[in-house]
Amino acid sequence: MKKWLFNPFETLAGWSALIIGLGVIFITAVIAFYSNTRFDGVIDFHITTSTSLSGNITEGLIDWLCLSLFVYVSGLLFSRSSIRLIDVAGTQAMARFPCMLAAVFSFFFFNNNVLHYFKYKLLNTGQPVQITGSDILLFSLGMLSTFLMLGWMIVLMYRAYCVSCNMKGAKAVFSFVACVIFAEILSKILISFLVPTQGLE
Amino acid sequence: MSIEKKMPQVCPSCDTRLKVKKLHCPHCATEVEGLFTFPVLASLSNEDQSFILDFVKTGGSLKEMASRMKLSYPTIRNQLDDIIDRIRLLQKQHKN
Repeated sequence: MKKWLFNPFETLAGWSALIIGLGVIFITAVIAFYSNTRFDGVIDFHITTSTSLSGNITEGLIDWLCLSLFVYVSGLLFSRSSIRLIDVAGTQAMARFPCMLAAVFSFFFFNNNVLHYFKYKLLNTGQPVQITGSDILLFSLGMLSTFLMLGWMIVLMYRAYCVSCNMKGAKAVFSFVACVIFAEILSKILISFLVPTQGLE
Repeated sequence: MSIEKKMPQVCPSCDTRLKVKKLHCPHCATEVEGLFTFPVLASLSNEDQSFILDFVKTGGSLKEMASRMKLSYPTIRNQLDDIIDRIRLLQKQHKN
């Protein structure tokens, strides 16, 4: 059970992981479209008031490709094993599975009332909105579940990196952190050019 | 029920790698005494030796190994690379 939650890549990599992973990215984009969720960066999650399906798919693919690119380059530079691009791409795509759950949770925990409330309070934009205690409770649960999903996704991405590139120890940790930072920056730049701003965030 | 004995690789007291001092023929009871170093492959752990046997039996196919062991290709490749590292280390120790 623990292995399937945190390191499924010991048993699943290559083409099968890539097919599952691409399925996850597309299903996530569809769910995010209906639950008004955006993943506009490798480790970014935002709720918004409206999204486009094509924008969500583009964002999911950019997030995946950016991290795969940096992880592959890092593997070529630092790993003593002969690594395969298909393993890197497949495992990194699969590692985005928690995003799908985060998009599902948005249905239950986040509503536009709270979003407009915080926009009005923090940015002084829009109309004043009344929110209830249950809105706040649901919002808090939503934030908690989102952070849990993001944490789980980062663990999966790291394990995917270790397995696909045969990396271990401090070298693995530091190079992975660098990969995530560079991939986050690149994904943000690409998304800003390729995906138009969607709704209120 | 016979117990499968594991050949000790290192000294249980000080962890130094052991050498063979005496060989015995179970047929005629001839004994040979000397100081022999374990071959590199025999110095590996039982798990590593078993992995190498399976690897040879599959004709050196990592894909087939992965399929038989129900593990992913990179996991098997990583195990092989780790064994290669241990063999290199043992070879270095044997030379010294």
